[in-house]
Amino acid sequence: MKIVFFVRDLGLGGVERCVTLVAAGLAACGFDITIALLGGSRNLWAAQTDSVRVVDLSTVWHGKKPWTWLAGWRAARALAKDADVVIASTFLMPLYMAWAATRGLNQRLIAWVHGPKYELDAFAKMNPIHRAACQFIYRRLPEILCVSDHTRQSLARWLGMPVQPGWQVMPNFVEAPPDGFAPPTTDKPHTPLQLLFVGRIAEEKQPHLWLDTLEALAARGLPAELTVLGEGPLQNWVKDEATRRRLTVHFHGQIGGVSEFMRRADWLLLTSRFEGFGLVVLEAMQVGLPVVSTDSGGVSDFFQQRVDEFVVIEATGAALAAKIAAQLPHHAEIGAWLTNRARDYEPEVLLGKWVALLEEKQ
Amino acid sequence: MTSRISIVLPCYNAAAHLPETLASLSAQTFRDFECIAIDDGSRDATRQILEAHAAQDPRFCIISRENRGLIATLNEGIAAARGEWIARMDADDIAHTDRLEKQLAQVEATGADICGSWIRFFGDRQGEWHLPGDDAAIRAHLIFNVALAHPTVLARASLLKAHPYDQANEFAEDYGLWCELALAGAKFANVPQVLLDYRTHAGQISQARASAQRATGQRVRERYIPAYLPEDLKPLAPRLIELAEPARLLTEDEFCWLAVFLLRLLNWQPLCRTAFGPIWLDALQRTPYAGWRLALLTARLARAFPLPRSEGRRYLRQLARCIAGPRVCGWLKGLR
Repeated sequence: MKIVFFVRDLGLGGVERCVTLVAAGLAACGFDITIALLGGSRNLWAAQTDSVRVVDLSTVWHGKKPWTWLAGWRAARALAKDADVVIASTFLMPLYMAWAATRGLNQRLIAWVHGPKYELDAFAKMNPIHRAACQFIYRRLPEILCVSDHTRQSLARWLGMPVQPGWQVMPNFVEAPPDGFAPPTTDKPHTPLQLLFVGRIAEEKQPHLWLDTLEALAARGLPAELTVLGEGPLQNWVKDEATRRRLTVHFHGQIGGVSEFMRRADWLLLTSRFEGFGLVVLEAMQVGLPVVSTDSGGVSDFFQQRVDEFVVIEATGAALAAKIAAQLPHHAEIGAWLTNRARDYEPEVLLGKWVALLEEKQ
Repeated sequence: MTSRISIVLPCYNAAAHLPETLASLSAQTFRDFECIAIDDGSRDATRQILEAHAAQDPRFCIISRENRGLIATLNEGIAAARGEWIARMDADDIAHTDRLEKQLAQVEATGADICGSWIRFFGDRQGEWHLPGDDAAIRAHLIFNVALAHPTVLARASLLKAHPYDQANEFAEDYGLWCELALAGAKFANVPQVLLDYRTHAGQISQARASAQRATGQRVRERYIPAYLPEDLKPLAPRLIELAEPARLLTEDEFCWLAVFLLRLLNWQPLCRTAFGPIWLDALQRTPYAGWRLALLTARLARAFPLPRSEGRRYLRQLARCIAGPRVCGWLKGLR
């Protein structure tokens, strides 16, 4: 079976990572996979995509050059015609092109939705033309894959229609940590407590909550330090504010080896306003790292009936600190539960669901 | 002059069926063999039957002594064998007259060191057991279970003398041995036709000691699987060992895991295509809460790993169960 993924390019983002993992996983299961790059020739996942065909269409067209659109459409259509399933890996360019390339063909088109569209639009204020165009297409697609139930509900709110029968939840997955699903270490938690944040240092991640949490923990007699893996526009503000408040925050930039930092940490702190899925939470779960999170949507799916133990209703430092204090006596048990829960998100389990999905209309 | 094949025939309280077994051996079309029949301290007429048969057919050599158990008896027979090849035989089974001839032709044609065949069950259970034919498929099949029917095996004598049965592998001594030999580089084959009728009855160790057999099987898998898998699949070995245990019930997610693992293995070793048909069907059968999603997944599996014809009806039953879903199946069970 031939599958084509339409992507903007293969940069370092979460969507690109998921596309790479799914594409390579399906290729290893015997599927014939093509990834079509529409907006740039960058492939930072070359080592992972050596078993799939990567076609660079950005050389034949450009979104801002209308006179190249026909050439781009014809190249995309040739790929679509040859495929059994076309997957628009995210919205905007991949969605538009996948939609246009399959018009009049009998090909199966699946849209893959990674983020909570309603919250995203409310925060980032989408260009109205793009909003209208994306909504127009999503409303007409019979099959949409959402990475969490929250994302699905958010899409329904954004489109102003109920969840449709063809909108399925298909969680993302991440690579297994280098030495597999290792049990959590027993020498935790440390003194002072070691908190970890992984992601962009930007407004949507609410970095003021990190500092508020450290302060609130100190007030409870629980000294703590924060390690930040990531970069972003608010990095200097966080640095200055941490110095002013005499809090310890270590910045390591955007580096690899996240699982090693996770093994050394006591808690993962997630303070996002919204998350479609939360790949970083899944990475933490794999290594048995307890998590405290704001109510950012998609991450709640991970915790099932124990969601109240991990997610605060009110996005404040005091609430996050209280959650950490509540988890403290059960740290090892919570870590073990998360490790076990992460098994539901193993690549092999979710690739099995992908295979079943792709077989659906064969 | 030594015979080309030495048949090793352990006998323990086998008087009821032994005459048929001995007759089937004497009637072999390939005649250049010796049969080392070991009476393992039987308390019935086994010894007398063996001696009477040996008096008529000088190719039979009888050893009789106190009971030492199957593994010790097999190793004793192997040590006493003088032929280039050793054929295994159980004291209550019936070899087809062309068994040795066809197996010898197979090892000569394929260069195999160990060769089995398909078997037909009779007695308490009916049906046939079709096993993968070529070396790559047999090695892959060993991940999950035995890939050679023990009483059908014809093996190079030098190999068995160098790798005798391990006492630690009680009740699964054959599985342990095939895995050890596979890791030592031996080449396997099965003749793709029934060459032996296998008698099944409640007294057999494989049924009475199933639990101990499973524990031994797991130990064997723990050694074999990590050594067999290619580098990129090695990290999956612990989970595979856990899920490969034939009595382990699976969740839907675990079945997905196993299915994807098999597909990835096929990608690495295309020759294992013939090995896993019954394996994935067994896995489906031990997934009690299987829904429509698994039915779709099995469509892919059925194309990747075709099922032998003998499994067609079982597949349809399992497919119907998946499509009906756990709720309807539970309701139907309740009605019954």
